[in-house]
Amino acid sequence: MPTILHTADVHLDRAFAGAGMTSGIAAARREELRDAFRRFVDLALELRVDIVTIGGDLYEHERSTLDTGNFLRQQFERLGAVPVLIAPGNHDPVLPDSLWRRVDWPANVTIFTEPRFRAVRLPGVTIWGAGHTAPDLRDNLLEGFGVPPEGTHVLLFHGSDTTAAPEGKRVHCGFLPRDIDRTGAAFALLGHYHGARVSPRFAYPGSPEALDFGEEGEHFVLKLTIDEQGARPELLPFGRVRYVTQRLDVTGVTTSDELRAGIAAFGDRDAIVRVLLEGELSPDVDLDVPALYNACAERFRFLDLVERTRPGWRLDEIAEESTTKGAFVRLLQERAASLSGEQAEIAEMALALGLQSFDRREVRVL
Amino acid sequence: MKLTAIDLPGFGCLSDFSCSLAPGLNLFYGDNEAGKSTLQQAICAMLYGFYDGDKARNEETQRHKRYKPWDAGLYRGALEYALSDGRAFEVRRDFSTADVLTQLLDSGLDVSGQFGRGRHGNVPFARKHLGMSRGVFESCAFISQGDVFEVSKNAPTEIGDAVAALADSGRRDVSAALAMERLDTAIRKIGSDQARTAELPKARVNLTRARSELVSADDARRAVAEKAQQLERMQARLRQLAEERARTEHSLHRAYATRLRTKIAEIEAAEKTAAAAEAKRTPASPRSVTTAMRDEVLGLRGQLKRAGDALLRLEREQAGVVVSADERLEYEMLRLSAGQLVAEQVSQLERVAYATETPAPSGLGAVFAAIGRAIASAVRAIVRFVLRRRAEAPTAEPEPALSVTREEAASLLERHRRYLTLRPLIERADALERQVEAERQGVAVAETRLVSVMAEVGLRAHTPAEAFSAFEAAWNAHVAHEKADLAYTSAVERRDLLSAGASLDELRAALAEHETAASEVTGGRGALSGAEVRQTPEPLERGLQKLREEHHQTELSARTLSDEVRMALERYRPRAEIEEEQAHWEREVARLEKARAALMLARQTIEEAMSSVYRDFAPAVNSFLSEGLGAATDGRYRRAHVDPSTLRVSLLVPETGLVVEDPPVSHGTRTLLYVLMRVGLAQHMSAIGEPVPLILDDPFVDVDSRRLKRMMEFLMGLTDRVQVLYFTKDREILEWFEATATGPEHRLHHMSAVVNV
Repeated sequence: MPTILHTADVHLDRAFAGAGMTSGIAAARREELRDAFRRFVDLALELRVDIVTIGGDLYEHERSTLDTGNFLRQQFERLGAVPVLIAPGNHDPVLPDSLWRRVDWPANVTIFTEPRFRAVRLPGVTIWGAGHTAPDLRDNLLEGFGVPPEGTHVLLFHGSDTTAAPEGKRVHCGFLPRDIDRTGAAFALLGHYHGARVSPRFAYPGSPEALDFGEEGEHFVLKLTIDEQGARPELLPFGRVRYVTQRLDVTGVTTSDELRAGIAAFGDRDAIVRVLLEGELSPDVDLDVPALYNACAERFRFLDLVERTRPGWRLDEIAEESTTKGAFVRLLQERAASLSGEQAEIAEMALALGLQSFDRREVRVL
Repeated sequence: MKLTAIDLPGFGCLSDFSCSLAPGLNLFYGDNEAGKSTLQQAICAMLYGFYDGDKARNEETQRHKRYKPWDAGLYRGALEYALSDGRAFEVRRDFSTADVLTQLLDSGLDVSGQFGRGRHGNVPFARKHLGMSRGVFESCAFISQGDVFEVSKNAPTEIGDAVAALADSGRRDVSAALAMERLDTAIRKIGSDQARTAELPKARVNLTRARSELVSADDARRAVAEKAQQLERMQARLRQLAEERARTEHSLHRAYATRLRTKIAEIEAAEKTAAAAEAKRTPASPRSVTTAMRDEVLGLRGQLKRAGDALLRLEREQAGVVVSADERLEYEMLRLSAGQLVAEQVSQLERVAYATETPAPSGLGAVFAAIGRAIASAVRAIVRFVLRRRAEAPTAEPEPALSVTREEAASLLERHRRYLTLRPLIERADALERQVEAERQGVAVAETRLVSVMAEVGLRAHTPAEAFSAFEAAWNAHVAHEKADLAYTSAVERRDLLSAGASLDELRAALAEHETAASEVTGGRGALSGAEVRQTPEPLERGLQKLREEHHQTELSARTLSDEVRMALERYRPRAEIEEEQAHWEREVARLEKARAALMLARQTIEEAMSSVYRDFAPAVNSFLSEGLGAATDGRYRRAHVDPSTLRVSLLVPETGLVVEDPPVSHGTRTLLYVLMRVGLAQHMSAIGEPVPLILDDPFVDVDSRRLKRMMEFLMGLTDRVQVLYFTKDREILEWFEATATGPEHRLHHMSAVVNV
């Protein structure tokens, strides 16, 4: 009976602009995603699986390069005769200029190029796949679809289980779990949600590597065994790069050395760590974020320093002073009280910078 | 606020120090190391503690440690004070631990909780009761000798600046102007749009560049998408063309195969024909029988036949014309005798003969004899006759009559008649003889030629008939050979024409190739297989050529398009990189714009705050300054003016009557100026208007005695409003105090030198 190794949402060629990574680190992250796919192929060979399936968003079309297409072709070639079935998703839809069309794929690769299910009959199982042909395909692919009664059938597609959509995640080809039941298929191999979730009739493997700080925790690929008992999914731990968020309370810190030590304590070369600097920062502490980053970055795979400290001045005390400084604080506090949004933030920042200008030789803009 | 009592069981060098303070001028007199500075620090520590926040800063801890009692006594103290509103408090602090146990007693009750108790004894009652922070208190209320000395070295304007700094920040080293300058530096660093090298314009330029690159890359990608669509259409057309081409190629190969099969069959037939012809051509045949020869032989045969026929006819004719020897002899005789007579002679003879008759001789002998004679006679007669005629010829005279006899004439006439009878016969016989001879000669010549011809072609025969028969056989063989040869040549030519230089094997190989190719072209396309080929190759070739050309052109276009698709994006970095760069610069621009706005707001607000503070401070200090300066300078400088925008001081110079900013005044005057402004400032800086006790640490060391006394008197005059704690080692001041400050509102405190144990 066949075994299938399934992955989805690799998002090769992804941009890491959101995480504020420098171009070098973002490029390294993209290389790590490639490495993840390379390891996925290694795993398929090691497990001697019979079929490899990909549930969409293997790459990001608008950012894709032919280099990535050639890389994928080489990886698929490594699988030799093992069939590779691909159901493109909303990020890698089948378009005339997509890699699916532009690359000369090896014979073992089947790409489902239509948004309706098409069968590929393989020993012991029939895989029914459908692919996205536009970035915003919304139709329920399962609508009106059913598999023949005889044989074992597995569905492969990229879509949203609308009963469990993560917050902020757009729905593409949304379906209900009962839609899968209704098709008569033994199991559905899916893609779209980046966190792994497995149910008796379908599974999202999640992205094999975490892609941002919203994807903290372990990441997997899915092995599906089909035998007399039916389809048995198994999540295999896979991701190597972890995203971790740490908080450093700077209240009471009196030197930048303490800050450095505090950040360095979170050091983890396997993790992409976001350190949130929080709390009240003493005016005595020279908070130089780039310098802190440079001093600590080598302890991390990637360090993202986010400064969210509150200035440690005793504003109420200063405001009571008859000095210009006191008047300055009073004026700005009054002004900030009448402002909101970015203007309030600017007033708050002006307060900090103004106080810095009284207390330090150099005003440092964070 | 007025301090009323202080009790220090142990504080630095002070041990079991206690004193009650007068509400007016308190003079602390003592030599160096008497603990005057320690007492000042103790007052500050009692009011504000050592620590400002919950977290002990290193400098605070160091200061805390620094004032541990030298004698290891109790590190604690108590300070009593009264506020202008009449309330009185006692603060007790235990500095022996880092916690600094602190109590603020109001009528014996600890009210420190009302002020919010922090760690390390940080109970901000003094800030509340004085209306100023420790920093401001230390900077404004404490006027030290060093401070005054430092500032009074400078010009009056700078004195104003120093005071302004205190007014601005409560610190001597930072004024609002300096703060604004620092903000300006930061603003300049971020930059405006005009300053291209500053951070913000650079970030904007980078952002614009990244955006532009992204737009270009997206445009290129859109173009690529369009081209990819075109390419897809072309590829579909290429597939269609390939299909059509395959179909045509298949048909073409099959057409060629059919043609080759036909050709091979035809060649095989031609070869068969050639072989058959060759077999016929091969038997030995006369070497060189030619048509000319045959024509000649045929001619010879005709000639011989005609000659034979002629001979036969002549011989038959000869048989009818029999001339005996006698008759021939007779004829010859007659020809010689009478044959020469011409008609006139005959006529003459007839006339002669018929005149008399002469009998004819009898018997043969007699005849011959007669003939002989006659002949002889005739010959003679003729000779004579002829000679005569010759002799007489030139003359046209009439023929003389013959001189023959009648017999002779009759004989001659007889003979002449006989001659005329014999002559046709003889002549015919002779003619036949000649003809026969001629024919025989012709036959001989023909036969000779025939023999020669036969020899030429290598044939032999005994008779012409055999020769003709042999020759005819040879000719027939020749003709058969020629025919076979022609058939062979024709067959070979046809074969050569058909094969066009190729061997049958080559043609069969070509056929096999076409069949294989047809089969290969068919490939998996079963539909093509077995398709009937009705067309000849040529139109198919033309069709295929067209298809190939279109395929080639389309392929070239597709390749060009494919290259364009590939090249279009090669010029661009991966979009992800550009996006990341754009996002980076967007963040940077937003951060810098925000920072710039914040910096400008801060600067503007500081400026507003400064104006506000200075506006209030300047008038307050103006009258105070003029009064104090007038008193201290014995009326020399009666008018001083503080600029409300800068706090810079101008003086009315008595010599010129002009108000001069930065006037050339003495060091002592500058000292007075500074101390007066500081005193004024100290009173002004309380946010709640609470009079702040002035703590002066011998500030007038450089002032001459006269001015010193006047200044001291001025200070003493202030004590109805402000408590003054004056620390000095100057005996002159001590003496002045002892002589002048005699009221209970003033008090002298002697401080003894402390021995460091």
